Amino acid sequence: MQAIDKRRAGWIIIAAALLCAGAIVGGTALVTNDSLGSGWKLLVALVVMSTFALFIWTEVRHVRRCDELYQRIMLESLAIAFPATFAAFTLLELLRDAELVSPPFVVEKMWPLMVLLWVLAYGFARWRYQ
Amino acid sequence: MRNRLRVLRAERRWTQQDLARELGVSRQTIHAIEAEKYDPSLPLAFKIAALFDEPIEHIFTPNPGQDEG
Repeated sequence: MQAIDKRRAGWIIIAAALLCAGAIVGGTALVTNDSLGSGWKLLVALVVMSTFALFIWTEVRHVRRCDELYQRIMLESLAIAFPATFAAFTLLELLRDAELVSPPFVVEKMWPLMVLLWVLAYGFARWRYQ
Repeated sequence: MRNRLRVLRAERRWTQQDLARELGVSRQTIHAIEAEKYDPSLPLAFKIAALFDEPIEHIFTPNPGQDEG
């Protein structure tokens, strides 16, 4: 992939991610609004999900167009980040069940951890092939 | 896997960027192959062999007793 295409693809992914974030914020505000009927709330939830579908599509398209080393780096970073997130969640749930961690800490709100771990794993995978 | 990519590229006075452009991959990929940190896929290895007009086994040789990774 050429440098300009790569930069443009990066911006498209960032735009899709921002759209997802906006949809989450807007969607959360709408579904917690009592004046909205359950049918509308379901529609809002589906619209939020559709933004994620767009994000997945842009990301997969980007990865398919990348060269083989980059694809390997992506695969390795996901192979590290996904189980590491699962391990971290399991550990935190065990600590919560054992009452070693207490509110306001909420395990269910920890999903951004996966993004952080993916960024770290991506940096590690890139460094490995430098 | 050992390879002679750096030597072959130097003989033609190509930069890594030149070679990357010819092969349709990133410069980082060329760097990683030359540094023997990454073994190319079979299609890319054949593409390299065709570009340098050499048999694939003259460019890439197995590293005895060492697996990839």
